[in-house]
Amino acid sequence: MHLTLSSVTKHYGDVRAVNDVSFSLTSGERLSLLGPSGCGKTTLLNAIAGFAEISSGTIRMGDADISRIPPFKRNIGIVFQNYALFPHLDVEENLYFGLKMRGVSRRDARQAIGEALEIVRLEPFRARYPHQLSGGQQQRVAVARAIVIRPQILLLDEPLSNLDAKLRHEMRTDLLRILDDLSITTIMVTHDQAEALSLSHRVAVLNQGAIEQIDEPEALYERPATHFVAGFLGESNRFAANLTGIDGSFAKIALPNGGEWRGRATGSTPDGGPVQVFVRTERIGIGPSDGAGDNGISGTVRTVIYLGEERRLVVDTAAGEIVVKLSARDRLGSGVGDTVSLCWSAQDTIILPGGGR
Amino acid sequence: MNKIVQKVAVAAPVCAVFLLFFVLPVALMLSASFERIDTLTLEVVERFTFAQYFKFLTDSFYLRILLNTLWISAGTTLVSLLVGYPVALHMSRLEGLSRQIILIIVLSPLLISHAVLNFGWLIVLNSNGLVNSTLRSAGLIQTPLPLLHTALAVILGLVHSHLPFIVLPIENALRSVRPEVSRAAVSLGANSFRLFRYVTLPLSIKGIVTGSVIVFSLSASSFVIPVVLGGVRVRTMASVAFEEVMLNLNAPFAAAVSLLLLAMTTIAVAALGWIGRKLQPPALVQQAAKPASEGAA
Repeated sequence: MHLTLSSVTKHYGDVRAVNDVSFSLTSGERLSLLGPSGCGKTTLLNAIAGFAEISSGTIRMGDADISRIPPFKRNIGIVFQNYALFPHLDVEENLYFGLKMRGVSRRDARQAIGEALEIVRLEPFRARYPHQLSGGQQQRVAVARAIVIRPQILLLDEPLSNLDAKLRHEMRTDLLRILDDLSITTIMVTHDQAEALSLSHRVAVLNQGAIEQIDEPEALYERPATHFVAGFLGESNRFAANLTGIDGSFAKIALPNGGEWRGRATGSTPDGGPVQVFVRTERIGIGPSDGAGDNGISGTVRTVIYLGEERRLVVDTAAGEIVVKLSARDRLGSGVGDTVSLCWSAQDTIILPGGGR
Repeated sequence: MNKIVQKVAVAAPVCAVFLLFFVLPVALMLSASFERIDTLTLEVVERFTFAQYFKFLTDSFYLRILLNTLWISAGTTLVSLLVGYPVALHMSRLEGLSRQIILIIVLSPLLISHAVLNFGWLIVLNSNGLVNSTLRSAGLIQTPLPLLHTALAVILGLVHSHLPFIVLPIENALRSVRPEVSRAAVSLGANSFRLFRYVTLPLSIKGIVTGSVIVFSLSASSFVIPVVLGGVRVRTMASVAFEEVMLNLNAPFAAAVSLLLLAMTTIAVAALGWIGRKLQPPALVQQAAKPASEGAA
């Protein structure tokens, strides 16, 4: 079932929690709403679910306008952040609840419940109560309860955020398999970019109630359209610079310290003027520059943070502080106080129009 | 060994209070209830006899008072529940100042002495009172309705003074239900009635039972309110016990009446608890059970 939001706005008093949001999902598509807390993503989810009445705009499911339909008639499955299982009902009864509301007899419900439990691989647990299940199991019951009613839309609110780090990785893989099996139109709210990038076909980055950019995960990461997206996704070093000219698919930029770099030019890159330059920490290497398209700068290592699978270096350079993320394979004996030269390709130098911070 | 000493030391004060103020008086009352005295000379004529109990249980006058007490207490509990539940439900959804205001209103009967509270009801219910004069000036009745000194008046007074004891436990139970649980029910297709019937109500049974037990016990043993609002026409066990010991100076019979009241209350509370456990969803009874370990998925 496709879902279309047109100019959806939600006020709380004078605050616009959701500001003129429009997007549409094709049938079976999965979209993540990604943003920091307070960006309006939860309000937007509540608006689609029907828990928050929208101030203006329309929400359409298929051809029907559902903007004013009460939540219990919307046929939307929701997986809540804290799972919100019924504590007084066992797993089977939790799953039966939605079917009972639809007038399905207990006997007819058995097969649907069995199928849903099979999808989430929890069949042996059907007689357990929620408090007898682990966090990961509760999460899967919540998914099964939401899908057993065969909803037209599935909403997931921070589906993995209540799990500890290790379990979160396992569950992400599990959830991806489940979602692939289901192919229901799905909207997921998250503040975790790994969750958003890995689980969805498209990601909408929200900031202050409005969509900053909506695109496929890789496009969003590699070609951010706004300062906010460039800064929010991944970890970037940011420099203020001046664009001095375009040379084919490259742009020439001048730094305040007199240095010159080359960056990737796209259709939207301006011809000149102040720009912001973003370079992701993991795209910077240590060593002399080895290609014509490369940018480089030298500096002094101020801090080394060892994190096991990676090492982070904070380097003081003429262009300011630069953070470098080195993988465990980059065996470099650089220590605090050493002088290092940093290099990265022009392809990884993202240029966005606009002045200072 | 040390641990045992420690445990005894911790439990000693409460045990002492319990012994002194509950076990001892009840024991004394129990022994007194088996005595028989000469009501003129007040001398004990018999040390061990079932005469007092026999007197009570074979006299329909007293049995009617027992039943009266039972149904006034049960009626008070039921009315408190019907009046208190919506208040608790509303209160559980409020936060901050608006909840504080409702809380103060709910607690207000506790802040007023029973004498004042009774006096208020006297003004409202007497034959020239607020209700009767209003009805009369509206032309709905010619002669005043006998409102005062009825079981209804007693129940009104008891409900008024005991309402906080039923609102607070229910509100507490409702507050522990996460709002997302209700939303989950709604998203699965439950309208307001079904949300209440299948989620809110089952999850608040514990509060209902707790509140009912408190209100029932307090109503059954209440003395001032039934005496003032019930007068001589509505008698309860407490008022009979009072009259026997203070007016008729028949302490043994008063002791027997008191113990029968205690027995009635105990049985009723046990019955309420049993009903509660029957209605209680099984998961919440064994909630204390250890949750499964994380990651067993």
